[in-house]
Amino acid sequence: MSRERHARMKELFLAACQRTTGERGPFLDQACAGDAELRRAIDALLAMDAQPLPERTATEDVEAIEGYRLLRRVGEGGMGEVWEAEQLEPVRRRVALKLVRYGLVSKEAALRFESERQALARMDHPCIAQVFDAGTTAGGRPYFAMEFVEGEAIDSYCDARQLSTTERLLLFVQVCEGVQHAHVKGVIHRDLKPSNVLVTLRDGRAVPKIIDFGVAKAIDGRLTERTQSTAQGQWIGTPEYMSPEQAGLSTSDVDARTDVYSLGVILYELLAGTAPFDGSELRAAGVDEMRRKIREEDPPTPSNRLNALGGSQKGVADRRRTDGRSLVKLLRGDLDRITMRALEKDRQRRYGSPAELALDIRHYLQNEPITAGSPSHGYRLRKFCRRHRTGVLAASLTLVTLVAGLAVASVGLLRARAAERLANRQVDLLVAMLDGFDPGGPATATTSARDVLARVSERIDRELRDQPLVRARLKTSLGRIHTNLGHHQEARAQLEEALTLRETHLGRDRPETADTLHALGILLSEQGDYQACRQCFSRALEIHERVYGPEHPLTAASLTYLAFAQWWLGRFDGARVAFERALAIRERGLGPDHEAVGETLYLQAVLLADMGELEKAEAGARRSLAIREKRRGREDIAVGRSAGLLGAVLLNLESPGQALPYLERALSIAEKRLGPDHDGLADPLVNLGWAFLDAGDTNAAQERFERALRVTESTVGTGHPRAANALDGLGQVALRRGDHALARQCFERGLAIREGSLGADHPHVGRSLKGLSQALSAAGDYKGALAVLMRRRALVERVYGAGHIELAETLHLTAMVYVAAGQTAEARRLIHASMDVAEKAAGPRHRYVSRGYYNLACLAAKTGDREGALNLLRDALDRGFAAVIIADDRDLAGLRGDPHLEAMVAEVRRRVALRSAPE
Amino acid sequence: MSLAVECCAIIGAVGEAVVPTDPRDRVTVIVSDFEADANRAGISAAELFPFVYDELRRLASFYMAREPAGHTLQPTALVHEAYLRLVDQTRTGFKGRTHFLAVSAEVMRRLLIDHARKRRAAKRGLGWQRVTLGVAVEGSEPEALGWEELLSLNVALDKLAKLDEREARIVTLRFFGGLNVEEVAQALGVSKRTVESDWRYARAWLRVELSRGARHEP
Repeated sequence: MSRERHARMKELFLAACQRTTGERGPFLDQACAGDAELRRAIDALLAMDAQPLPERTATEDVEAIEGYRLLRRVGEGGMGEVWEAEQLEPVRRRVALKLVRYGLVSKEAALRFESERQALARMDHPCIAQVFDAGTTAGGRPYFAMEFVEGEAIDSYCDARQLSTTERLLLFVQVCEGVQHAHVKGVIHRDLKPSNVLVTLRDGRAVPKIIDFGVAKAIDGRLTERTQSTAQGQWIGTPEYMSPEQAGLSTSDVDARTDVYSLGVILYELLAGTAPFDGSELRAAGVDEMRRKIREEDPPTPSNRLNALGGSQKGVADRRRTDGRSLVKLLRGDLDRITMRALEKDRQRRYGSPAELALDIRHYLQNEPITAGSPSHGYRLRKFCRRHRTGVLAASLTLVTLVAGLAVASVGLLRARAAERLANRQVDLLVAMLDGFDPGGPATATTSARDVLARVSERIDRELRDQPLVRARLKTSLGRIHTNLGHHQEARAQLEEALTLRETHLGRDRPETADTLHALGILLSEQGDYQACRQCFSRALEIHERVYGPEHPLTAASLTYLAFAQWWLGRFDGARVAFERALAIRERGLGPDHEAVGETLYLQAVLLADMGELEKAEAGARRSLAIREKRRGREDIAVGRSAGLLGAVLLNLESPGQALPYLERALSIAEKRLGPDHDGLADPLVNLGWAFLDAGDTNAAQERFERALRVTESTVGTGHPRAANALDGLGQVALRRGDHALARQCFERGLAIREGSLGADHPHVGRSLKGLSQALSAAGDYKGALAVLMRRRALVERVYGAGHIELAETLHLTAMVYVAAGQTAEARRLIHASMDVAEKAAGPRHRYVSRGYYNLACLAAKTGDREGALNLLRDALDRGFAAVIIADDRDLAGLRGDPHLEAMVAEVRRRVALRSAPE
Repeated sequence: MSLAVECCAIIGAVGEAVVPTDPRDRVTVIVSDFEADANRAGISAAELFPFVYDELRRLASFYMAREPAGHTLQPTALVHEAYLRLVDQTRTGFKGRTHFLAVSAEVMRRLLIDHARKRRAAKRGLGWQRVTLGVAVEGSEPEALGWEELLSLNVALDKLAKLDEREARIVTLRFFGGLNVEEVAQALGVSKRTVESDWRYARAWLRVELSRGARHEP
């Protein structure tokens, strides 16, 4: 058998299928003349094709469900299969058993459904198919036992019987009443569509029955109603019926008016013959565009839609027992208005309930005025229409590709082959990969993806030896894959080779080279080699700027990566400039709301916070959080990071009450999305630790810090800078408890880690130095503490420049050492110096200023200067001092009982209480 | 004395912000990249492969362990479950999903064949005994194939692939991925009519081939 023969057989087979049985014989006689074998083969094929397909009646594959006897399978729904069954207990009756597919119900969803079962049981309306029972099979598959409804979907029912518009409206009103009944019982359907409204005949009258109430709620929230898929050839959901609020990203925001919208769509279809948005158009556009359309675009009114139908208008009108022109006239006006009101994007403008909708229809039928008014111009103005969204661009690009493909296919055999080759080339790489899966290989237990990738790499090197560019491309991909999987060594090998190949054969200035540089830079950042990482991104940026210009998204991407690398290297100014540029490019090109903008804002806010510019950081973090919540949903990991950042910033701004909810949210999202042992939990945990420490709960703080250290060490290792963050916290906990030795250990360990991974000149080293100085001072080693602080001062001045707030802190810490050493004059001088710097850098109300006054007051009190001490305390309070230590500071012992002091203590307590309150 | 013990809350490290570590994040990025530019199909298929491979392998062994012996494995259900687990559907659409399913179908087929071979070699129960395909070979409903039948089917498919790759691909996508005609058309970049014709012919061809009797694997 050859390919040509196979193809020829197909041609003849298909041609024969097109002909009637009578024509086939003569046709084949002629076509296969002289080739009896060919004829035989085609006859055999036709025989197989024509063979009647046996009905499957076996029910063995479906496990038995207690109390029910399965009879036959009646269909495949969006969520699973539907069986006709006989209920055995407590009463014998025919039911419909809906078996939900594996993987569609999570524990949370099952719990949610439990609560709704009660409500479902209470529903009792002729237009609602009752749900009798729900549970899970022995195998863990959820099922619903419902009233068995034998009927036709409402749209095909009306079409088949050619019901007039009035008859359709009367039927529809009943549907509304049914839904209304459910709402009164507290159940929202969420998934109303014609296939869920079956029309049956009861005593000669047509009665609509709504099925699948409550089922949608039981399905995992992630996939809600509109995004199900089946194994059996049904489609990814029914976007035509999705309401605007469901097309937004928060799926919990559904209420009764969502059902009203869906009813509106059904009404639209009953009147005009099609749904307001064309299903295939929606699907072809891609999810973002689909959602945008539903949320923002106004569909044509039913009459306009009918008008625009052209040829098919006649069919639609026929099925309503009228002609095209009359139908358009009929719909124009009140029916248009009623339908469009039900379809309002803004829920507030919709009918508030199905009963209201039904009422307006009744008014119409009785020739009374309806409540839906004519929409005004201003209202038509779509607030959200944006021309420059990437979503739209991307959709049109791919649309063009698809159309081009189809056009090619129809032009001629030669060019069709080209399209085929393109399609097949898409498979080549994959096949190359999968053929690495060696069937004859060693019969070991499990072949891992790593092994397969290794074999693929060998194949690439072997078979593409003389095609360096293809090899480079594949190796870049492999490198990315390995990076994604955490295989750093393999990734590096692949990417470095790919880079060499591309530089050698393409030159250093080509975008492909930049692409590999990006991949390599990302890998290096994961490994912590920030110098090399910066070099990669810097080179990539050069290339992109030269080739694409300064406003291109790839330029922005390189800038963002570069900024990140600069930040980790401690080059704050370079990082800040790069972020600002990247942000500007993205905002200009994508609009202020785009996800990439949200990402840049987040990164920038992290930098600003690290630089001490907390107010700016707060603003950036809030904006980034808002964008990400909108674009990605509330439980997304990126949202968690933004929330964590905001919490950390607020904590540093001394608003623990406000910070705490964000911090806890960050942790809970991280746990949910990454699992309990992922190192992505470390940062949220550490931040929570600080919050607890601030509140005085050292035990809770320690617990968090320890867990953070554990997850870091067990995943990225003991040398990763993140471990030092946790050690900072543990050191402070130890200090609080008076365990100087332990504190010293923690800080020294942290210092070693930071020096080792970030370099001795990195600003974060200052954190370890600060803690270490405190530990040494507490142990009485004042000389040692001072030496450490001198080093910190030098570092701070080098990194941040003169006059930075960090210097104020260093000076203050130094002062404390002198106090502990008993050298009050020197201490006083340093406190003043610190206050000066702080006031110049951050204003007179900065805590270093107010605390400076406080500490000066303590010093005064210790020397017996009561008057001086009280004055200084007042100065402190005037500048916002609010540390609870004032209540039991031993240094103020001499002033206890003094009414002035007590008044100030009370005031501080009040301030602390206020500060701890949530937003 | 206030020691100025500041709470220096740690601002989160940025590493992950640039490179997502959650596999679901990564896969979603790959799929949505593909959604934006379908010319990346080959690359993104390769990038998806290891995730899909690992996930399907895990799911398959999970189900095999959970189901009582003698039960049927539904590869298409696994493929769909892998999709749900690995992809955030609020950020991808029809094209991306189809692409993902297409990759999964190929992986699934190979995982099943590999397992069937091991099973034949072991001559003992090794989890599932039957497999339900996405569409029927013989009847109108998908029936359950035993592992021997599966191996025969695989031989036939390999033979078909040598005669016409697209036909074999269509069959693989439908059997092991459960893709419908529209989705297959999208995955291969051809018209629905082409898919329907090819499918009709390929199916008849397979039935003829399989009816010829046992063709054991070499």
